[in-house]
Amino acid sequence: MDQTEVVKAKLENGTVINIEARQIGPQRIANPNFTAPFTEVTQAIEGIANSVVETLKKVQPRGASVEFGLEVGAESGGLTALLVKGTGTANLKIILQWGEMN
Amino acid sequence: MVQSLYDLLYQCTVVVSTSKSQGTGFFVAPGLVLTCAHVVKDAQENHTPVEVLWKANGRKHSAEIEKYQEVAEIDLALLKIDLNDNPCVLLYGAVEPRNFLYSFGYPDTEPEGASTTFESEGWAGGQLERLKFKQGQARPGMSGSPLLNWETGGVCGIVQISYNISIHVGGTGLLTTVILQEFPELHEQQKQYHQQHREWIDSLDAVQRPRIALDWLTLSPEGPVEVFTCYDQADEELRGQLITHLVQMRRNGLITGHEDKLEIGTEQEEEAKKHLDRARIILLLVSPNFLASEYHYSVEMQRALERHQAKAARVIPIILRDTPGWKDTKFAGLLALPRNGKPVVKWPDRDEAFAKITEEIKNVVGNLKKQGTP
Repeated sequence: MDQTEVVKAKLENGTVINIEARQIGPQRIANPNFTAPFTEVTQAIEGIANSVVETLKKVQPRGASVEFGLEVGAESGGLTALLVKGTGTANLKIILQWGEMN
Repeated sequence: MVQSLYDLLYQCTVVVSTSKSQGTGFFVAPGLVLTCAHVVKDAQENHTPVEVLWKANGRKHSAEIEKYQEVAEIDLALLKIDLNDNPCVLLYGAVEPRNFLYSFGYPDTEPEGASTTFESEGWAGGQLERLKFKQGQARPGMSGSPLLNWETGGVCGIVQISYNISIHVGGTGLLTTVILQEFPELHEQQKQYHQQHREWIDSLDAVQRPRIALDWLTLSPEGPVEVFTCYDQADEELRGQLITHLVQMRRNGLITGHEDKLEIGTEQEEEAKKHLDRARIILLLVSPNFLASEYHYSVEMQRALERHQAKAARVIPIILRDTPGWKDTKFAGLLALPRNGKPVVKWPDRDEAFAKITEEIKNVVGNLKKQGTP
């Protein structure tokens, strides 16, 4: 069964967009009357990307490439980012690349 | 018409809205709506308004949060609105695994309202204070919906959590036993409401009714039993004689009843219907005129039979005159008086007939007072 829900999020420029999101965990089921800000998702992305980059810096490779998929998750209290296996069903495919690549 | 329990539950549900969220609630006492605390959390914290929309009458009411309990597993709120003639659910805590649960609420997928059914799985939580249920889709907006246990006819819980809003995997709710522990004053309010308004209890079927073990549901030993007499104008004199024989029972406080002559088609008819709905004993004074009357046959007798089948009243046909058609009616199965089957007017001494009838009615009253149910 399709487990995605369409949720609304408000961008910083005020536009409201629809996102295919996955529900995470049991939720209290009041129906929210307001639109969650998209920053709830972007902050999560920033957090994940930062952690990955900082970790790799410690390893100090000459070059690296990281690819990961993120889905938007809906949980009690708002939106978040979900780190998924592969990139097939992801809302966002993030590729970080730096240094020399073969 | 005895309303179905489904209808009665629907009529007790409301939409609860605040500026940030929306959910369901239901009436547990006159002017009192029960819902989940998280449905009105932002209103409680920011002192913003709460609005209740009662779908059955289409009107919006502003609500005050009278009680708010959100601590540990408890997540309940009582809202006060300016109404005192709303219907109320019957709160009854019994529920077991595999009970069929019926709910009505206002999910995002059906904002005008929709039924959902679940199957009870049993209990969840540190103190087993929650009810776990499956095989239904618990959507946003359904927090605060009542969970009616079809096995008992009582509301055994309130919907709180969904395991997954996209699929029919169910969720959990808080048990009525927990609700009554948090708000013990509801016991008295429920008792007062259901003693005066019997629609919910009258709607319980023969399987549900004996499962509701509430001590205040039985007849109070002190109160007189209400008797209603259905008769045709043509039998006015005979009715008068019956009333005369029943006078002593009335004087002794055993019975009370609708005494005035009924004129069909007047406002008295409305009054009469109310008495018919409240009576615990309904006497049908059977005669050819009575049977022939459309009003007595289709309206009064029909309603009496419904209440008899719901075990809400005892219907006793009293055969005044020879009425061959009686045997062919659906009421023929009811135990009629006089016991020997001889119509009253055929007795050499009518007083003797009425005296025997009075004895039998006195026995029925005695049984009602003892068992509490007809």
